[in-house]
Amino acid sequence: MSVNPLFDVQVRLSGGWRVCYLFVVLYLALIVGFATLTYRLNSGDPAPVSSAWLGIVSASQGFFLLLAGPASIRKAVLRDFQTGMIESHRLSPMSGYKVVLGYLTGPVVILVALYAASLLAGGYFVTRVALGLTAGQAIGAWWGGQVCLLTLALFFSTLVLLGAVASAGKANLVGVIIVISAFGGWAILPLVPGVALLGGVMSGNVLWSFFGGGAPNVGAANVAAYAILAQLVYSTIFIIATAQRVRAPERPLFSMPLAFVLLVVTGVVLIAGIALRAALTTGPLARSFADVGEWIQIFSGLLTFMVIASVMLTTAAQDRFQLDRSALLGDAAPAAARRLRSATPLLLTAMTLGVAFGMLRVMRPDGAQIAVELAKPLTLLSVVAALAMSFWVDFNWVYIGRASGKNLSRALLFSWGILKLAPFVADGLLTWLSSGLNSMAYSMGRGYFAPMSPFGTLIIALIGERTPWVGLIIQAAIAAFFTWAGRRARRGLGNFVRSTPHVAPAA
Amino acid sequence: MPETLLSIRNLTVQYGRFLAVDALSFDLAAGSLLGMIGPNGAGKTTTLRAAAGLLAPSGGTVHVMGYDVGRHATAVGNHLGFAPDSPAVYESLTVQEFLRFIGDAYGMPRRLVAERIDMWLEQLWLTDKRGARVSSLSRGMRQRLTVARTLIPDPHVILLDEPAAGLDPAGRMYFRKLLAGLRDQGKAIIVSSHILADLAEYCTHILIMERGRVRRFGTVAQVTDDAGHERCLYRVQLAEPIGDAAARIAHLSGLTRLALSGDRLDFEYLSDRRAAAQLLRGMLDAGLPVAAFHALAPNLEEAYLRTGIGQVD
Repeated sequence: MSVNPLFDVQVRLSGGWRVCYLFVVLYLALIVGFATLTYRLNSGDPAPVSSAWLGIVSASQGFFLLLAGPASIRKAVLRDFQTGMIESHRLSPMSGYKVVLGYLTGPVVILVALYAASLLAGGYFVTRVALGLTAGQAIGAWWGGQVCLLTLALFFSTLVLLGAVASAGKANLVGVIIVISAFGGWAILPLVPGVALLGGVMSGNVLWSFFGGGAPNVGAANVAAYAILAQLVYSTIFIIATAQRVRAPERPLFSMPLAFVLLVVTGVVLIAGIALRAALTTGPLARSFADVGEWIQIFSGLLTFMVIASVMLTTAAQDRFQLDRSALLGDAAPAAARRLRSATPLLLTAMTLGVAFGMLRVMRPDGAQIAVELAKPLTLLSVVAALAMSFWVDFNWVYIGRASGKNLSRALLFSWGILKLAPFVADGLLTWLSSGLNSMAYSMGRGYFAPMSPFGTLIIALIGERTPWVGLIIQAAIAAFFTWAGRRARRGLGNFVRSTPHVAPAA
Repeated sequence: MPETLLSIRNLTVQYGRFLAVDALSFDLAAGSLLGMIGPNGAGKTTTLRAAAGLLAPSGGTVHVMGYDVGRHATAVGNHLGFAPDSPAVYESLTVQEFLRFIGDAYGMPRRLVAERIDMWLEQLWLTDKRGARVSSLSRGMRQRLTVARTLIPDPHVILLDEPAAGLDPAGRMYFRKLLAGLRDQGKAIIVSSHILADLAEYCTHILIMERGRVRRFGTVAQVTDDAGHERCLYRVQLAEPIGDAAARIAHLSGLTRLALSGDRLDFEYLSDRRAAAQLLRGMLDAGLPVAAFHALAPNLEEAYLRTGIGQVD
């Protein structure tokens, strides 16, 4: 009996242990040969050998664990969906966790072996040969960097696995991240420090300072510890979600409790990102953080939080739909459970506000003025109303989409595109046209259509301008429409439930 | 072991606005072999997938050996085997490696896995393909491998979706015996198939579905004799061809659909045994050299057509 049959079979499908050993030997021969060649070319001077060799090793480690590894995992999942073997796993008594661990380890066994080989060889070089580096600090940083790399790889791999299992292997998150990065996606990092923290960029910035030649940013070393902790917590959440998904593919990606935990952790990470950004005093990221306005970072953080909140909102709407349908079909569906799902928009509103004030609190002294403005009764009321209505509209939109069998992520994207982002696009177009005609000044806060979007209301509150009540009234009208549409969809569920004569059980 | 191995109650599956299965309920006891019939889109595969736990039902419940399929998926995995219509296999493994993986996935001891692999490879004519890569197998062989994969864990409830598709005539014949053997071992089996003649031979129960609803359900005799049809087809083998054989017995009351083909005479008559004995006497009185006389097995195709579904795949 095997400990993890899926691990065994994935290793076999990747070529088996013999191929694994062969790759390790070839890889070691390659890097030792490279080191020897560099040493000879530099007339026996060990310093350039050390730095060049460690550079090559680090780059290959990053490639193995952050690119090739997740790509292999996704490929294995895709193959199992295409061949139908994922259903074979579902039929077997293997637990969802066993399947997840099999996917996380089996397809990457060769890459992990190569990483381990590089770690051993690299460790030897760092401790015995790397004379060009500042002895104590560099060695500690190198090993610290390995831990950061491993937790980042785990975080990234679990995320890719979750995406692959949820999309039948079609979602290529590795490719998406590469494309986003290539097209300037790095620009988001100064806007949302929490993402920089979670993505390991802050840690990288800190660790780099140890090798940079200047004064190391020792005071910010705990950034790496926070990043590692956050990545481990997220990885755990993703593993639980994937295990649940493997066993119950038609249920929401995250269960309600798990979605709630994900959201709480996201809130903490976003607040920690704002708090820790001040700890970065050196490196390119520190300069970028300083260049961004406070309210922009708060707004971007809240936007990120609201995107993640969609996960819980979608789950709540799907659960509500399932409970409503179960009730119609005569199955157990407590009314309290249904009402609780419908109250999710209010919970999310409270959580979003909590995160906003949490970020402002750690942003002192810069955030204090914004917090005072936001805490004014009318401003606060407008923000609460805008957030609650926004979540309520999304909740109903997802419910209606589920009732009519539509693609939920597409429905949600449509909701965000039309109701939240389109007003900004319309404003931009108007401004572009008007500036061409009479050079009319434009301000994001006083935009023409932007106040109709909940994001517009939020921006106006954050920059301390007067509440645009007309925009809020339009948002209320939209929310009222979706309340009506949601109820109509709920009533329409009964149309599909027909009764057929009960067939007597077989004798 | 509970007598009812599979229990389906008010099973309803909706795909958006489309109702694929509509409040389906039945029980399956040990030793039952249920044949599912229906046109494409009737909901057969959806029912099987929901029963296997691969599809979350919109409503209703499925219990296997008393375990709720939706809530105790891993426990159900130990008792249920499902063979989908398209074989799910790892192409680059050998037949033996693939089956060993399945045994491991079910937590079976290696020795038992080896014994079961030997047994099923032999029973499914795949012994000489033990070391062959799955990618080199023909469609029929893959189908048999999928059946082996399903049976290796020795499940109590077996669901087979179009298992005979892709099998040659000899394979089909052998497969019928295999299913009858499993039935006699006390398994509860559901077979979805369009080959109605085969189903009539080995099934104990028949379920005819259309648009997610049950049109007929019961034992084979109940389904074929449904709606007061107390008649069946008879076949008479004459010792030699008699040109006017049909005319000689045409006067016998109750005979319909009389057809003469060489030395073979087919007709429909009352299925009652006393009536059959009188009929035989009548034929002998008419001077027909009757060499063999027997009622044909219940005709499932006719029963299916009588439901008025029309489309026969």
